[in-house]
Amino acid sequence: MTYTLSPDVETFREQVRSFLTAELDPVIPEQGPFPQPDTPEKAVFLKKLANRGWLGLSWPEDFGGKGLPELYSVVLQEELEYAQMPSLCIEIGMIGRTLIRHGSERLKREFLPRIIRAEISIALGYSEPQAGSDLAALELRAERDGDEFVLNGQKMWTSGAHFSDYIWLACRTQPGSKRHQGITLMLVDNRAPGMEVQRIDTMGDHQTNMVYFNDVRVPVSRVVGEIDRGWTYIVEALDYERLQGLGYSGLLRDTDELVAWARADETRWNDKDIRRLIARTAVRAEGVRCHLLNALEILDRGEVPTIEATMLKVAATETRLRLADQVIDVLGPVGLLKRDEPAALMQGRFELNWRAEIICPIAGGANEIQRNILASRGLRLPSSRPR
Amino acid sequence: MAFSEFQQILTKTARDFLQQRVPLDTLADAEAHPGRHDAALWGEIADLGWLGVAAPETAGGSGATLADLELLCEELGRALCPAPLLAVAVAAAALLEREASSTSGELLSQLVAGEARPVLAVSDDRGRWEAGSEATRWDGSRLRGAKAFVEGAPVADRFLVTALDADHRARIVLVDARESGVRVRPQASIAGGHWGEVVFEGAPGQVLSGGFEVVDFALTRTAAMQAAWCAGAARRLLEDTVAYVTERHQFGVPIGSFQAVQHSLADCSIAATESESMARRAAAALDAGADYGRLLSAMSFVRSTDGFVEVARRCHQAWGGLGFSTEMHVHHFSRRAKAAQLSWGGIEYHLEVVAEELRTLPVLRDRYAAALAARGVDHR
Repeated sequence: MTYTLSPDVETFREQVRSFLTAELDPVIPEQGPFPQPDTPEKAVFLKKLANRGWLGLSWPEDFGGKGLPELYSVVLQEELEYAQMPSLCIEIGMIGRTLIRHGSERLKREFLPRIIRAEISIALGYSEPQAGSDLAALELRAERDGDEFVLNGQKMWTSGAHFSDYIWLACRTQPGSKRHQGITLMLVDNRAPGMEVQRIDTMGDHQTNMVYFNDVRVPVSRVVGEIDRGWTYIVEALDYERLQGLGYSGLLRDTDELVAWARADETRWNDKDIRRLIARTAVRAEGVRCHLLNALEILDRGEVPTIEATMLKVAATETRLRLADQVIDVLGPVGLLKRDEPAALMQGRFELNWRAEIICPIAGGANEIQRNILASRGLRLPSSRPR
Repeated sequence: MAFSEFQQILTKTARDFLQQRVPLDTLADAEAHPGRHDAALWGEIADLGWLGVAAPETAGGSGATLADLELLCEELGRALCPAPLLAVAVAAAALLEREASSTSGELLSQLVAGEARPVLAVSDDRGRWEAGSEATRWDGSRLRGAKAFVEGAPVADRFLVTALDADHRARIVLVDARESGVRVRPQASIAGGHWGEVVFEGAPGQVLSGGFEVVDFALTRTAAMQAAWCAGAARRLLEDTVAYVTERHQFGVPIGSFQAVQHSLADCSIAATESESMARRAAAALDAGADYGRLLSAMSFVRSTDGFVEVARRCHQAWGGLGFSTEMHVHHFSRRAKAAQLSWGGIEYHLEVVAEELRTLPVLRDRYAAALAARGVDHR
């Protein structure tokens, strides 16, 4: 058993690092963690990625992709996240793949080329005020009117809706249908009349949104796959989603920043508390890396690493959150200074992380849901559903 | 995971043998007699080739990889095997292999054949893993001093002792346990009598050529294998606990259907998986001679021993009062988990090793910072 990826993958990783060494834009990390092109600098960077042929690495060549194993796009994602550069992981990894598998020819022709050339960005519209972890409770109404659907209702936590071109959303096409039935996926033009985006500010300096739909008309041709079968596609895409915002690279970057900071000054390294913090952090980061490697190994075999990716999500998000807290405890009050304060340490990284990372064990499937998955699908424990 | 055919046979043989030969209900008796060496069991283990898995073929070993040895150690942990394989076939064997003098070569061959049971005697009476302290001195012909927390001491027949010589240099002295100047006493500790106190009152011995670097080499290998042992034990305990909470009913349903129990065991599965993967990765790195082998080995020790304690505590909670009773075997796991954290220098020592290694290993962030600096940009 080996834990090294194939030489081809490692060669590719090194190419990405060389590219990043040359193309890093130092302004971008200060513009917030949003992976999509919400600033001109991010848009420029993503264009370069597209020109390099690195968007759609694992898409079939028929759709402009490279036809490489999924592993390559995960490695790219890993490296971009470490370098704090943007990506189009949702569009490429989740939306693109679902379109390729289930979209009509027309949708594929219309969207795939623009995604792969980094010309559009798409927001995810799943959550609603009454549908969070229990996504199947969603209520956004879509009523058929000839060749169109008419949407009425509300989406919540629609990050990116304030700048993206489209919303990839799930709505209820069968009025009064139960749970998993009667849900349809569609691509909605973000500039369609009747849409209203209302910002939600968060404690993590990250803007998200509520989106209201008042008689928004969507052509039936924008439906993804079959009408009323959307739930199947959503569940299928979850496995891809878990592998997107990996979380590991951010943790590794945190660890490396801490190591570099402590190395820069003998008195820091000689402080036993700092040394212990670094050692313990590095141990946990290595543990998280193992979940990633386990997932990659399974991907490499062409299988879907559900359990491994679930463990990765839980371990990475909780470790990173705990790290911010522990670093601040060791640094003392200066650890709480914001980036622009003269005495701030490591550009206020851990003060920001302490606030911003709170959402990570919640977003992308709350960790409680992830633990349910580990219990039922990993350990095969009896069902916890009320009977 | 892709395991070689050899590895699959090794694992299968080990699991069957250990289950049949040292089932968990024999542990209490073994613990009650800490100084008793089970010669028959040791002979069978030697016949299986387990005393020389990673030893060179010139010493009668099978010259297999540390990745192979790692899998065997997982199985030993699964069974909580009471025979001192980590102390003899991992730690002492690694030291002798590294020493590579004629004395150590001969002793290694005897070890592999099951004819000698040397163990490392390094820690002082406070458990400090040290090259040499005033507590143990070699005057050129005699050894005086005391060691404690010596893994496997109660059943060892030789000791590889760290001591200071007259010039204050750290040396390794080979001492026969049967010499009149050697007194061994099993230390009753949380996990039974696997540790011993060894007092040397002018015992004769033989100085080996290496210094503390040889001990460190052995410790690096042992740390990864102790991690493997803990990973295997944690995995086994978790499996048994999953089976129990599936059977045990309260309020008319299996307790394993409650989310409070499920989430706790889900965390155990994360800890067990990390422990296992880290130990395997450390072994592979040591096999490859990677410059981060020592780092990964120390890291795996910290994660696996900590992880085993966490798993044991959560599993105790799942077993309820029953697990507190010595009728059940949970206590065998939890007590050994705690002892493992404090073995081989303990977690604190291994955290220092991690820090020491991190001090010089390159980090990718520095490459990006340098690239930005070259472009006249201050790294943010």
